[in-house]
Amino acid sequence: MSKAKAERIPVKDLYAKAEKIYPRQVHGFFSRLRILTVFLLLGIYYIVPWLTWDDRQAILLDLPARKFHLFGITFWPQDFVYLTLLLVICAVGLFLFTAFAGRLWCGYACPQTVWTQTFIWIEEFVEGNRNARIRLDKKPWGPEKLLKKTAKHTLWILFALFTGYTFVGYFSPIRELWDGILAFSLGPWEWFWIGLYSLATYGNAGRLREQVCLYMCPYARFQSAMFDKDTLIISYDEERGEERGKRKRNADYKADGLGDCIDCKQCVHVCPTGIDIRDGLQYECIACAACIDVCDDVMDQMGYDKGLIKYTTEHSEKGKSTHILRPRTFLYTSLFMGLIATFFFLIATRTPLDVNVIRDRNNLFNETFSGEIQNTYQLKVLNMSQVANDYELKINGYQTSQIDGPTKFTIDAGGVLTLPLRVSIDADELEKRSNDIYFEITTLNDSQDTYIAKGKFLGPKKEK
Amino acid sequence: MTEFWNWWVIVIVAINILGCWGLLFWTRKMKENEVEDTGTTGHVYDGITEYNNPLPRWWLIMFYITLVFGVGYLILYPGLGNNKGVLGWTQEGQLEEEVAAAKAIYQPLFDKFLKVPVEELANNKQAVEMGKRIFVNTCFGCHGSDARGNPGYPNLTDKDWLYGGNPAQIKQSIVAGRVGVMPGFEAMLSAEQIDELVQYVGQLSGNQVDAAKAEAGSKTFALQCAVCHGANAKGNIALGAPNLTDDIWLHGASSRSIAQTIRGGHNNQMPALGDILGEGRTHLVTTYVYSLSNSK
Amino acid sequence: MSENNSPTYNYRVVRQFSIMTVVWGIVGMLVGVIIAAQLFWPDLTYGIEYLTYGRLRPLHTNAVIFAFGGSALMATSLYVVQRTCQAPLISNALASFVFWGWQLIIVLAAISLPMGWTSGKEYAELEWPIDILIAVVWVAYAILFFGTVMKRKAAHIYVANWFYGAFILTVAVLHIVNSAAIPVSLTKSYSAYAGAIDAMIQWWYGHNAVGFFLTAGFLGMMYYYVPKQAERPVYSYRLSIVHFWALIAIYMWAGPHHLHYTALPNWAQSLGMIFSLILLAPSWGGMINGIMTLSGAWHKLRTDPILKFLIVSLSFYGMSTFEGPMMSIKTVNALSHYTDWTIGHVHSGALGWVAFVSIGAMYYMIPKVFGRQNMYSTDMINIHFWVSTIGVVLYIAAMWIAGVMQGLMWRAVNEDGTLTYSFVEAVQATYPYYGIRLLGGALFLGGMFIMAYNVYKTVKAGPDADTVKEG
Repeated sequence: MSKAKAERIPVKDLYAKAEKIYPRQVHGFFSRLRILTVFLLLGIYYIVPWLTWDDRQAILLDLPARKFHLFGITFWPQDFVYLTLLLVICAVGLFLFTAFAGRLWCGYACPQTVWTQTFIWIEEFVEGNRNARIRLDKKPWGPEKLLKKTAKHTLWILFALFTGYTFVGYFSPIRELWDGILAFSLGPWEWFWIGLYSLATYGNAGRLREQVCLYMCPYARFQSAMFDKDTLIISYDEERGEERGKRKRNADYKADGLGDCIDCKQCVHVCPTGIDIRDGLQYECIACAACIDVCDDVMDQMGYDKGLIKYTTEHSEKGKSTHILRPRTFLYTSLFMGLIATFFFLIATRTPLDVNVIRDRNNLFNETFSGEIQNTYQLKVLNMSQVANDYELKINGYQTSQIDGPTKFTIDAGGVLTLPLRVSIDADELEKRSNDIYFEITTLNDSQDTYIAKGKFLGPKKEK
Repeated sequence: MTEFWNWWVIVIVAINILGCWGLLFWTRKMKENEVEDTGTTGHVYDGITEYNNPLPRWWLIMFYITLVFGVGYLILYPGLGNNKGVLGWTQEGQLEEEVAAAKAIYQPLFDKFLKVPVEELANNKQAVEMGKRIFVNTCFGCHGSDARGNPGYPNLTDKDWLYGGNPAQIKQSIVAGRVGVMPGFEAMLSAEQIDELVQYVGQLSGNQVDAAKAEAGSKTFALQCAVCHGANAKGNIALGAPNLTDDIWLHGASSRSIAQTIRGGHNNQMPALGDILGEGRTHLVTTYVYSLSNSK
Repeated sequence: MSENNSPTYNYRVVRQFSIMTVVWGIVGMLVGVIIAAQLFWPDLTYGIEYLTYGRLRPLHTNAVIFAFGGSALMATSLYVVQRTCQAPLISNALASFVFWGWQLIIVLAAISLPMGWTSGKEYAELEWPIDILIAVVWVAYAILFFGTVMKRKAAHIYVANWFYGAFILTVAVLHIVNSAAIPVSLTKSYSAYAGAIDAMIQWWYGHNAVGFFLTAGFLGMMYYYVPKQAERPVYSYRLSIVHFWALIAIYMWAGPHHLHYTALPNWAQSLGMIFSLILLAPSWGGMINGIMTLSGAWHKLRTDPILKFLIVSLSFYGMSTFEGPMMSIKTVNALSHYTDWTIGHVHSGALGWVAFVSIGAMYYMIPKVFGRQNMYSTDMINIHFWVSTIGVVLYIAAMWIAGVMQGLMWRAVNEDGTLTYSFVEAVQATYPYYGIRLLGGALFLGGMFIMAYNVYKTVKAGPDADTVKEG
C-alpha cells in the first residue's frame, strides 16, 4: 500500500462544498445523439399527458380509483404482474446494454442526465458559455450578476414547476389540474407532489447534478459491476497521446518527443462530472462521450487522426480482438427478447375479465333432502374493459351441477359485480371430499372472451 | 407518564439530537497534522491505511435537514414525553377525522336512499347492489352469501318468514335482532309421544306417515305445541314460531332431525345489527333482503 | 505490502466458522426456498406438522440471521481482530468453546423450532434454555474479542473493530433484555413483559437485530474486506467516526416504526419515525465510505468478481437504507405495512447487502486461511455473482410490486364505502408474485451451491506450496 499516491489533497474543512463544474457545450456526433434523446425523452414526458384516447386522457394513472389507463387498455392492481415483468425486462435490458456498451443509460437516457442537460442549456442561454459563466461567478455581486442569476433561477424554477405539474398530470387529469392551479383549488396531496417533484427537479438538475451520479446512484455501481473486457468504454489512447504537451501547429512534435495530445484540456472542460479521462477509467465517467466529440474536433484542427479519445474495449486496447458475441451477451439478448415477447404475448392475450371465487367458509356444505350437495360462493366478476358487457356463467365438469342464482348478468365498464350463488351437485358425482370446480364466464359480445376460474367444491366423505 | 419518565424521554431525545449536531460540529474542522504527507492518517492496520477525505457538503446538509425535520416534527406532534405537540395530533383523532371524512363522502348517498320506501327502492339497481354488498359482508356467515340460509339459519329468499316479511318487519329483525326459543320436551313427553308428534308434523307438510301415530300426535300437538305454533300449525310471527305446514325445515327435514328438535328444543338468535350498520345501511340491507323474495 | 505476520494467529476457529457460514447459508436459504414454495404450493409438505409454514419460517429467519450471518460475523471478526490488532486470540480454548457452543445453539434451534417450541417473539423465538446458552456463548465471544483488542500492538483500534465491538456489546444487551421470561416448563416460557411494553421491547430488539447484527457487524466486515480487496486506503477516517457514532446512537430509537398505528403511545411512534429519518445520513455515510474506497480501484471491477460482490452489496445497502426511512414515515407506512413490500425491503437488505458482503468476504478470506493464493475458480465466483444478482432482482421486483398491489387492493373501496376486495382476493392476486419470488430465491440458493463446490475444491486442494505462510 506504500505506493498509493495521494491524489486527493487533504483540506481543512471536512465537509467540502462540491467544486462547481462548468461543462462547456460540445458539438459532434455523440452530442447530437444526446440532443436527440433529450428531445425525444422530454418530448414524450411533456406531451404524453395531453394525448387523448376515446375522450379520456390517453395515459392516466388513477390511483384513488385503482385504475391505470394506458390508451385502449385499463390496468387494475391485479395486473401489476405485468409491471413486475416490465421491471425485470428493464433490469435485464440494463445488464444487456451495459455489457455491450457500458454506461449507455447514464450518458444518454437517465433522467438525471436529460434534465441536467436541459438546465445547462437554460444556464447557457442566460449566463453565456463556460468562460462567461466562470467570469460571472467570480465577479462581485452587482446589478448584472443579480439580474442574470435571478433570471436563471426563475427560468429553472418555472421549468421545474412545469415538470412537477406534468408529473402530477399523469395521476390526475392534466387539464383539470391546470384549472385547479389557476383557481387555487387543488387538494393538499396534489400541491405536495407538484412541490416535491419540482423541488427534486430543481435540486437534482440545477444543484446536485453530477453528485447524484457520484455518491447516490446505485445503478451507476451496478453498471460498473457489469463491465467486462469486451465492454465499450471511453478511453484515452495513452500510447498515442503521451507525452502530452503544447506545440506549434505544423511543428514536428514527434521529434520533440511529444504524442498527439496537445494538452488543451478541452476534454476536462466539457466533462459533466469534472474528470480527466486521460487518467484512465474512473467511476465518475457516465460515458457521455463529450470528450470524444471535443477531442475529435481538436484533432481535426491540428490535422491529426481522430480517435485519440474513443469508444473502445479493454481487449482492443490491449491489441486483442473484441468479442461482441460472447456467452453473456448471447444469454442476455435471448433473455431480453424472450421476456419482451412474453410481455407482449401476455398483453395481447389478456382478457379484460377477472373472476375470483370465494367459497363461503362457515359452512362446509349442505345436504338436501334429495341427496344433493350444496356449496355457496361469492363470485367477484371484474369487468376490466372500457365498455359495459353482458356475461354468461356456467359450470364445467359436472353433469348434475345446478346454479341457484343469476347466470346472465351485465356489468358496467370497470365495474365489479358480487355474484352470490349456490351450486348443487349430486353426491354420487363427487369423487372426493374436496373437488375442483370450474366456473366459466363468457362475454356475450363480439370478443367472446372467456375466463375460467377454479374453485373448490366440498362434499361428504365417500362411504364405501 | 409520570413526571420522571416525561423528563427522562425529553432529556434523552434532546441528548441524541444535540449529540448528532455536536458530532457534526466537532468533526467539521480537521486538526493540524492529522494527515501525513502521504495523504493518509498514518495509521496502518494489517496493511490498510486511511485517507481523511472531506465529505460532500450535500451529505452534511441532508443530515441537518433530517435533524431540523425531527425537531420541527417534535414541536408539531407528540413525541417529547407528555408534550402533546402544537397540532394536538393523536392517532385516535386521525381515525375520527378520517371516519368523518368518509361519512361526508358516503352519507349523502345513504341519505338519498333513506328517503325512498323499501318497496320502491327494491327496483333501484344501485340501491340493491349496495344492500347486497353490505349483506355479503355482514350476513353471509349465517345466512350464506346467497341468503339461501344454512341449517339453523333461515333462507331469506323464499316467502316463508319467521317474523314477517314486510319491510318494517325485516328492518325490525335487523335492527333489534330476534330471539326464537323452542323449548325441549324430552322431560315432559315420552319417546312414544315424541315419535307420534314427528309423524303428525310430517303429515302437516304432506309427507307419507303412519296415520295412526299421526292421529295420536295431533292430540299432543294441540296440548303442547299449539300455544306457539297455532292450532292450525301455521306458526306465529309474533313469537317467531315457524309455520309447520309448508315443508320448509330450518333444523332439518328428516324425522330424526324433527325428533331431535322436539326433544332438545332450539335457542336461535339473530343478533341486533342496528348500531353496527346504522340507519342508512340497515335501510339498504332491508331493501336487498326484501327484493330477494319480491323481485319484479 | 508490509505484513507483520505472526504464526500464532488462531485461524482454526476462522476456518471452522467460514465453512459453517457456507453450510448454514445453504441450509437457511434452502428452508427459505421451501417456505416460498409453500406459499406457491400450499400442500407441498402434506400437512406434516414439523414442516408447516409457521414452524419453518422462524427456522429460516434464525438460520439465515444467526447461523449464516452469525457464523460469517464470527469468522470475519475473529480474523479481522487478530490481523488488525496484530495479536492472536487470547485463548484458543475459548475460541473452540465459542465455535462449538454456537453450533450447538444452531442445532438446538433447528430441532426446537420445528417441534413448535417457541417463545413467539419474532427473531427471538428460541426458548429459555437455549437463550441462556446464547447468553453464555455470547459473553465468551465478547471476552475473546475484546480481550484480543486489549492486547493489540497498535495504539489505535481499527474502525472495523469498533463496529464489531458495538455489534457484540449491543446484541448482548438486546438479547438478555428481550429474552427475559418466566419459564413454566423446559420448553415453554412467558415473556417478562406485557402488552404494549412487550411489543415495544420486542421491536426495540427486533429493529436493533437489524441495526446491530445485520448492519453494524457487516459494516465492520465492509471496513476490512473492501479496502483489502480493492487494495486502497479507506476513503475517510473522519467519516467513519461520524457515521459510527451517529449510527449506533440513532439506531437504538428506530424500533417503534414497526408499531405505527398500534396500541403503542403516540409519542413513541413519533420518535421511532423521526429517528428513522435521521438515520438516513449516518447509513449513507457508511455507503459513501465504502464506495469511495472502491472508487480508486474502479478498473478492477471488470475482472474481479469479489469486488463486484462488495460494490453491489454497498449499492443495496444504500438502497435499503434509503427505502427504510421512507417506509418509516407514517403516511407511507400506512400503505406499506403488513404488505409484501416489507418482505422485499428486508430481502434487499438481507440478500443484497448482508449476503453479498459476506460472500465477498468469504471469497477473499477462505483461500487465505486455508493457505491458498486464490479460490479454486474465479469463473465460478463470477457465475455465482450473476446468478445471485438475477435472483435478487427477481425477488425484490416481485415483492415490491406485490406489496404495492396489496396496499392498493386492501384500501380499495366501492362507491358506497364498502371494501372492493376481500382479503383472500388480494392473496389470490399475489399468487404469481410468489412464483417469481420462488424462482429468485431458488437462483440465489443455486449460487450458494456453486460457492460450496468452489470452497470444497479450494479446501481440498490444500495449501499452495508457494503461498506465503500466513499462519
